[in-house]
Amino acid sequence: MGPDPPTPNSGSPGPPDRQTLQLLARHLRNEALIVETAFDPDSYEPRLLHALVDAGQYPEGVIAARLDIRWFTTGDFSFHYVETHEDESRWECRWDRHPNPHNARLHFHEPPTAVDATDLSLSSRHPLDIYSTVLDAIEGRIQTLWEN
Amino acid sequence: MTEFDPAPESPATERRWQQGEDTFSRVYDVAMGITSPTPAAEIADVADCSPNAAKKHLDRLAKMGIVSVNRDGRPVQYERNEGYLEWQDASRIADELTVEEIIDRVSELEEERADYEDEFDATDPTAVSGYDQDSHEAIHDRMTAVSEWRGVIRDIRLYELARQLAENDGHLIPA
Repeated sequence: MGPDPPTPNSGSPGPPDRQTLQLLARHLRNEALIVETAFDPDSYEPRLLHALVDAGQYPEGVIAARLDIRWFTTGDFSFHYVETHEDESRWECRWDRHPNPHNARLHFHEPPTAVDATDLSLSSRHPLDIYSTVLDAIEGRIQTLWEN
Repeated sequence: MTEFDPAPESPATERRWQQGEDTFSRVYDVAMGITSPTPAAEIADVADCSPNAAKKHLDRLAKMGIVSVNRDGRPVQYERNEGYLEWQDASRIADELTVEEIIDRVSELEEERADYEDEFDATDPTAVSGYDQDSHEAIHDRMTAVSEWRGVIRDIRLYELARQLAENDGHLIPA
């Protein structure tokens, strides 16, 4: 679980990690922040895990929020957070780990558009630790929205 | 507005996923996310327990078949047992779907596989590089597509195993 080793920008991504997605879904179902989880296409072949964040926890102006999770058997992943606002704008960001020529394998796509990416460093890359970091960050975001 | 922090310090002493879980559940959950041989001490770090406690629970999970153990290494290494977990997934499919539903789903997946072969002009997804694109988003999209293609091929095998189980009343070998 040490620091991310450098890896070549080649090779092939692994298939979706069925066990990890099921593990994360099990924990998301116990989250007070999350009202619903769903697998795409279904629980027999989980490729993408959707989690619907409780819109009632946001101040007025945010009408929906969701988190889309992919996890690959190669240990790569993507956590995509998207808020939809009343004025139809979006506020989104993404925690990613995959080889690319622009950033570290582990990087973060900055809000509000999730286009620009910066390198990210985390002490553990275990799926449950990444999950906790992302949910803590979303909680921080909700708090910031109330303070403004 | 304060800047968004993608990796905040956890406000609690326990990590979020650990709350309300006993030591065995934590070791079990950590093991489910371990995909390469890992010493008990590293698993204990993530599970927030002593290496001895982790080892005790991992050995128990190994006896149950959920975790596989490599005793040749020093220290002994553990990871989740993919074969066991695949069989468990196939059993659930065999239990919940009819043989006809399984066969239908396999033919849909076969079509999906043919579409990917056309799209990438190749039959082996492991030969297609996911990362040699110019833009970051293109890499991301391609990586997802190649991953799902590999998932389709793997799931066809999973449903084939489920069909065998369903046709043999839950057994791998006809009685």
